[in-house]
Amino acid sequence: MNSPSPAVKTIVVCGGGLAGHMATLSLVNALGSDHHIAQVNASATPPADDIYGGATSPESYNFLRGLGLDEPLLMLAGRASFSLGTHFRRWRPGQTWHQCHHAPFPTIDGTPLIHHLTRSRTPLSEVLISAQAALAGRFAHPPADPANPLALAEYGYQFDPLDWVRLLDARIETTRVERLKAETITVQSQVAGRTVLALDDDIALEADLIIDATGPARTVISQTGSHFIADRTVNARISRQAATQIGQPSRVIEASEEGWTLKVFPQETELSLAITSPAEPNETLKGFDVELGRVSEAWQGNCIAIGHAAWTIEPLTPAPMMLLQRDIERLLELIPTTAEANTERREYNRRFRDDVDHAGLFHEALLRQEGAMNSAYWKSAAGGEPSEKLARKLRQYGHRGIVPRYDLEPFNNEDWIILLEGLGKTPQDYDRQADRLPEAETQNQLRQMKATIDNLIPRMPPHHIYVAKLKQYLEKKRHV
Amino acid sequence: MGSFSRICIVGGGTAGWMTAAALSNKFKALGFDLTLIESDQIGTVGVGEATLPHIRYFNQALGIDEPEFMKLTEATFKLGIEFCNWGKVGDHYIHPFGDYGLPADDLDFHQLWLKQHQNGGAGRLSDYSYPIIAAEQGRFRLPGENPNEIGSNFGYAYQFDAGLYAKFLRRYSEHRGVKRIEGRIVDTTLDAETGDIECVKLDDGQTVDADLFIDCSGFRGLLIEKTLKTGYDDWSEWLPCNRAVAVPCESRGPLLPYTRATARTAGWQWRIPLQHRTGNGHVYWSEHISDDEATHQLMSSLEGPALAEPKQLFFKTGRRKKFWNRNVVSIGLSAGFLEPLESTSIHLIQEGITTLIELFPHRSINTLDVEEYNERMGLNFERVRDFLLLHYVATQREDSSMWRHFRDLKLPDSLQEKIDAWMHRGYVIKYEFGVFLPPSWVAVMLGQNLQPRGHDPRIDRFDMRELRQKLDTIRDETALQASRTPMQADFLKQHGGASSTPLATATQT
Repeated sequence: MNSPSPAVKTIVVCGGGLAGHMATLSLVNALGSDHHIAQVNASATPPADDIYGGATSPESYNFLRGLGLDEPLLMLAGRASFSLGTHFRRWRPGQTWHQCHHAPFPTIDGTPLIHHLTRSRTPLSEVLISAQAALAGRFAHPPADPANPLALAEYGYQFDPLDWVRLLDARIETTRVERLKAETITVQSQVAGRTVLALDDDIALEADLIIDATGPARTVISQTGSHFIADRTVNARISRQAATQIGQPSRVIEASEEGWTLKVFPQETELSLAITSPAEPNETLKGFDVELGRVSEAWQGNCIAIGHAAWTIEPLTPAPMMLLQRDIERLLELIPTTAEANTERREYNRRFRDDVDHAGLFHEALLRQEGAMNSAYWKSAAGGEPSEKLARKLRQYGHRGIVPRYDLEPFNNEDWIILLEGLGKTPQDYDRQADRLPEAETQNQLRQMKATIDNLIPRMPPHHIYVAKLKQYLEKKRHV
Repeated sequence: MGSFSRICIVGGGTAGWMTAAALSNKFKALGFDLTLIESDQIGTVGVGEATLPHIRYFNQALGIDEPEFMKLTEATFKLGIEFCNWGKVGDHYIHPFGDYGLPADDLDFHQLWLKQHQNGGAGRLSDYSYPIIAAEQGRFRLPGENPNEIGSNFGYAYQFDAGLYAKFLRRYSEHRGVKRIEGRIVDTTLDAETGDIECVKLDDGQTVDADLFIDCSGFRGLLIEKTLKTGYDDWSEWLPCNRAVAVPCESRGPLLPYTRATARTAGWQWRIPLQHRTGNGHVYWSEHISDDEATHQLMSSLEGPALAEPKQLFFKTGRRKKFWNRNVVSIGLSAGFLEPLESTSIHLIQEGITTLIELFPHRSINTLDVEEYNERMGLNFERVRDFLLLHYVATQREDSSMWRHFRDLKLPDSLQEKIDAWMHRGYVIKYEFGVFLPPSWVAVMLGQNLQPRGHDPRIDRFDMRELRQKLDTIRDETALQASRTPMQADFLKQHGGASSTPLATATQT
């Protein structure tokens, strides 16, 4: 027995790069052969791909595997390295911390760790294995044994988007995806859920669903009536330098009067991204200007904008890759079953707004600080309407170390606590249950946690050696 | 030294003693001064309670031994709730504690089932749920180690005598230093400056002062409402049932590991099997049925002789405008009332207690704690409300004025959107915080004949034979696991939880 033919038969992905390729490959993996999938302009990687920030979060592991980007491939062919997080250096005077990835914090005597730290005035970073390993430039895979403190470390990858685009492209080539090229893409007509795209004004391409992955150009979504809600504009300047040795197992962000600089350390390259305020009319900056914000509706008509075509946020955290992954997961969960797709569109846009807004809270916490520098970049970054959702988090954390959560936020409780501690916020009070343990006993336990970590770190290999050995091992395994 | 540690709990029902037990367990070491005031003259509402799986964490945190607790509270295991006559008269389905089947890669199991169902039939969704099959056969055992295996991916709760549970926790609490005062509160004194409650005065003249009062006085809301006039959000617009009549009866037949909720013409009737007897009650909307008729419907449908006179209860669905107001926290029926259709009463008590402990004041009450408590509990109540309402509106019944009322009701937007998305393609709009997660919504919507028109198109990547095979494997494994499960009564004995009280009989009373 055959399935009835689907309501949405032809899906056209416009654009290449990380968003276009990941979406195309995800669609072809998820959908049966009665869906025709085409990709237009696959070879055009939007230059803005560099502002995805070159790092993933731990949540991307299964997503990447699903795309065929498993760890051996990423290490051997994708020039990836490991990422334990982002090291913020001199973000503000006195604010230097490691925004590391970490499994749920342990409890002591049934009470969350944070309260014991507050009570005994112990800095969180001292008991964070991933922060300490990153600071020491060392890495090893978290073991399965929960008794080993390293089991609490979590990691993502550092990468050069160009490498991953190449890998994804090669994979798409082995699939049934039809690939087309065009200088211009014009929406010619939209009738009853079907859209005709004119490629270069001569080829007409009919599609039931269009995925706009053209980056900030927003080639298709901008023709549908969805508009971009711009928050502010920044200038992004990218440079790549050959590196003989892999840098540290975390990205580095350093603030300056003009803005901030991000350094990413994949294999063989050092990527550098400087974010400043946009170029003045009479000034020539080397980079390009990017409007930050999001589209009013990511799904308009039968066009769905994903990645930078839908939103742009600065790569202060792995948020850009986290949001791109969520865009694609949301898309897959809501492939329409009927041509009108009203239900899917409404739900997609609801989740889209929540995801972008919730990721935005984390960045707002980083950028909206008292005593910000008085330059154009920082003034504009700290401007805009403050969010009540963030205010609630800050109030509660400052009061007693609790970070209120909203449904399905991209950043987890650990991310938030590490961030707020990094920003120098200290809870005034703590959970009274922490008082059940005598203070000396708490301090003793915390000292032990710290000592175990301090003892373990020197036994972990430096990042570059670990990657080199891992690659040797993987190579050998591949040839057996 | 103003250490904020004098706590007075007002009322000694399930809510009061659960609160006392948890606070004494968590804060005894800090030298808290815990007092509970209750009066033997004031009855409690407890009529035999069904719970949700979360209760196990509550008991575990107290260090309670499961078999002992079960024995002393006449408890039975609960794998879910059977809903009869909800979609149509004659229908029945079980809402289980646990997921259906096993997911296929990134796809929810119910989507596999839907596709097969829409293409020639897949049998009942229930056939792919171990807890349902075991429940239907009266069987029970504890879940296995691996939560990703059929026969292990389920949760369980208890049905117990709430009066005995309160007694059990009273012993626990008194052992941990909770001071119980017998008496009725006749007056309260407010602090002239702050408006907080300074002390309560009992009928024998003694006064009890405290830093924090926990109002577990039931519907009356002695402190939160009578004294502080906090106000109540009336939710009768959505859940209009406003009365109940309850009665225990003799047990008949095998001990079933589930609660039953049978829809009636103007409400619904519960059946809660305990070890020594069966609890029954009829929740109804007085506008559509007289008290006599409601009692008659209940009494004429008992499985065995009644063990007591039917007891009448009056309530109004809704929530206190502030659960925590000044230095009073309301927990239990004083906080709000939602009909026990999904056994949420004790769960909401538990949520109230754990949230209070997490936000327990240090030196004085901080408005931030109050704000956070009220915010979180408000969300809990609201999400339970929408799930309860679903039962009344996911129906094809039109056979009485109450059912016709629900047919014409305009739903809250959030619920309407959820139903629309489901009907369109079996998609469940998810949230993270709230007690009922997607499998519960799937159980009720499908159980009450909300058959989606479509399914997730990703399922179409499996050919029909492959799909059939996947489903058959799961169904066979489910049946096999269930057939290897002991009958609940045997398991209770083996577990050490069998009560030694003889079965209650009507002639005793």
